[in-house]
Amino acid sequence: MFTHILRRLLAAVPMLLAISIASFLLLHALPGDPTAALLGQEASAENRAALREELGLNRPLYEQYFDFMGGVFQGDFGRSFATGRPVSEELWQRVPATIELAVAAMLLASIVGISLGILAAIRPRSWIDFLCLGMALVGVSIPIFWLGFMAQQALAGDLGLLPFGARYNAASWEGFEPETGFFLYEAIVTYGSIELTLELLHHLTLPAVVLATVPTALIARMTRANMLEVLDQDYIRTARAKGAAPRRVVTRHAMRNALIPVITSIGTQFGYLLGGAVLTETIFSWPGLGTYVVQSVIILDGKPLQASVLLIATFFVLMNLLTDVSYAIIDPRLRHGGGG
Amino acid sequence: MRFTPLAILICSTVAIFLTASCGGGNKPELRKVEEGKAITVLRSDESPDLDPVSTSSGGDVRVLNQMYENLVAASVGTKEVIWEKNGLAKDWSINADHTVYTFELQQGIKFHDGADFNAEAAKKSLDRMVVEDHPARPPTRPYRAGYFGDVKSVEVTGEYSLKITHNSPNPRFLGTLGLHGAMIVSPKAIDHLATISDPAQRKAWLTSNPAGTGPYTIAREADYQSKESITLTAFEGYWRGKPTIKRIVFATAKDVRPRTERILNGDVHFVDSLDPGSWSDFEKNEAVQLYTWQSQNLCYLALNCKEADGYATADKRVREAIALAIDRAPMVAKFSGRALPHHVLIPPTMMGFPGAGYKPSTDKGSVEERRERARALLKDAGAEGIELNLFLPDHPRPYLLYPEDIANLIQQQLESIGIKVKLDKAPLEELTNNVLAGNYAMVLIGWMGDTGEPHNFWSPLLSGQNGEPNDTNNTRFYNKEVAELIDAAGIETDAKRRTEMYVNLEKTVHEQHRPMVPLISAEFSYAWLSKLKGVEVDSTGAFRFYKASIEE
Repeated sequence: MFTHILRRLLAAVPMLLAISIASFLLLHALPGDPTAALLGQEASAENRAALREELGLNRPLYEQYFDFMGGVFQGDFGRSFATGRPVSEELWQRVPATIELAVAAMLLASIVGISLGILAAIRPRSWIDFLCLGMALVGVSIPIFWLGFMAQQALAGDLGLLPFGARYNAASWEGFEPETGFFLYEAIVTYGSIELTLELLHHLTLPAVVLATVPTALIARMTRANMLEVLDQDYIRTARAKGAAPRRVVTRHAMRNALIPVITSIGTQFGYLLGGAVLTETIFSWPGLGTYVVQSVIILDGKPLQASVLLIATFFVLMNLLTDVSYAIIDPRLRHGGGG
Repeated sequence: MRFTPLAILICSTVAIFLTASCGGGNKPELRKVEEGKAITVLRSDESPDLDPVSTSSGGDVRVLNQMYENLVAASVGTKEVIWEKNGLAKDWSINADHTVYTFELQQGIKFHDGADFNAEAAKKSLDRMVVEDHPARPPTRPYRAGYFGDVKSVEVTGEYSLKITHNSPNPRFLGTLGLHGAMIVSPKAIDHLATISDPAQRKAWLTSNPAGTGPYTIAREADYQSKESITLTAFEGYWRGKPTIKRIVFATAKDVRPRTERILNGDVHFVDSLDPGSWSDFEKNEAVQLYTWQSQNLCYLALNCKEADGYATADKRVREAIALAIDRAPMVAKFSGRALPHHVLIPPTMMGFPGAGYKPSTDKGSVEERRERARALLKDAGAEGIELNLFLPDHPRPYLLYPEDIANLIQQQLESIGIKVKLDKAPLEELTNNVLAGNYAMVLIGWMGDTGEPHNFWSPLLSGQNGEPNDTNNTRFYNKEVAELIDAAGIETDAKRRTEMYVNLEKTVHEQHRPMVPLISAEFSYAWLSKLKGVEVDSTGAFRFYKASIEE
């Protein structure tokens, strides 16, 4: 197993290297002169030239790349020209918001998706199966921005059940000084405030439900297919023949095997959610990584864009790596080099 | 006894809560703000830069207006901007040729950081804008050259007396002092800024550690959560009296839809920039108050006049043909009638506006008749069937809420005279870079005035220096005679004569040179919940909440 993990780790290195080069070149691919963005339009050619020198933009590209990577390893992604603040500081505020949303969405998607998949599989071709399949199909096909707007209009606007957006109603709380950016953790652990926790969950619900739609549908379909396959296996028939209760057959015998690929695919889905929450975050004014990328693109703020792309791509590679490794741990055929 | 995973999860959550609630005494105190003492403002722009000297963005200025004050204050309740003596200066005098301004300052005012406001403090703050190599300056000072370039000196003449001297007559200077760039920053903060070596870090520091004299401040660095979400806290020592609203959150929604829905549902207290098409919904809704006004703004089509750039628009006949083809009526309709068809540079509420009835000759006559003239001009210029590119911003601007729709109308209208138009949508930054590089024939863009001064339109948009157009001059038009006329009007101290000079400039420029086609001047809007009383909107369109309260 150790060799398998090592092999996977080594395979990730060139991928991460390629990502770092691509994100480094991104800054150079952006239209316009970065010194104009930093100094403003009234800056003289001399001032711009001096800044180019100071920023090292006159040096060979490979030297600039090594500088960039040196900074990355020290957690220094440069400064945003729009705010003048270190990008790492801004990311430190935004990444937890995205993680909180992605974890909530993934939890929801896993619980609902697996439950729906199992229900559909144990009653194949019943109304519940068709309902689950139909919901899964709609979930995969529906454009997320449309669903987001509709859900917002119906649940926040017309019914007034949930808030329109934002992480919490900042105007109503005094003294909330979260250090980590993980607001739920802070509300529970640091402040022990049930009221604030409930408010945070209240705000989290709608974006999490919308973000969970696609993974829920995918997980439900995958669970159903795997369960159907496993329920048709000889050992299940044996278990039934031995008189095991139907519930026990499903939960103890079938589910354990059927869910292995589902659980590993949840890892990949999570990677997608970390980088792909752009639309959901924008619709619900969620101050996460997605909205950060969008704003950086709009104003062509190179450094935040560079850092976000690097971070999202690295997240994705790491989640895939984790999935591969967990697969190897769960499935002995892989760690022994076998399998089909 | 067996524990299911769910029971374990519930038990551990309860345990965490109990432990956290009973745990050590270092836990920060968390309080719910009293009902009716906190409001949320949902605006269209974010605030990345809260350094008054550094920013040029409206999103920043709307937050700065709550935290900082100027020596002069804009009038409230007038259409024209009048600078009144109820800002940080209680009185002033101006010498005959408008080169020396003397101010008597208010007394007993404190900054947020405890420093005293006096003439020394005002000088220190203004010097940060004026002095070339000031040690506390931010990386950029976009207003310095154009507005403060002719300031010779700022001198303290008494504890509460200040004298500002100019190199040449400057009748515009009260308006300049009303700009956000002239907001007064605490001397303590400036001393701290001078110890920071990197200019970018200076502006970042001031952004989350504001120190003005205004009614609100960012009480803790963490309250500047991000450029989209900023919490302001009432300044207890505010010199005009403690504000009733204790906390204001400035949140951001760039899209107009959530702003409209959230205010109509009472989810936020104040919003800006609403779609004119939805104004009737607001007017019918008693729970919401709509505020609209004819702002000092202009949306125009800039035509590249620079011959070296090689576009057909360098030929005046082509520019005239384009002006002749434009029909503003469908553009006004797009704004649901809440914009004025505009034929000159200066907005209607400003000095130098030649009157609602005035139109240059290209704008007179029926649409068909004008397009016939346009085709003849193109034929004469040998420019029949030409193709031109048109840059437009990829996001709505306050003066241009529907960039794509207006650009499509221009495309159709120019096609009717045989000009093919290729549309290029671009972020504002990229658009500006293309203009500076001369890679464009036409740009759909606009301008908003912030001082109530006609010079604030003429100089940046149609003038230049040393034979070159200013960077903000999107037409790249430079004519020495026109530039001199603009400069002369800028320093004319007789108001009547000055008005005439600006009116004559309108007639000269559009008839003889036609560097741009003014299109519309839009009405702007705010909306707030009717229960929020006492919101103040001044004649420049700045809103403030220090007199506001919520009355259920």
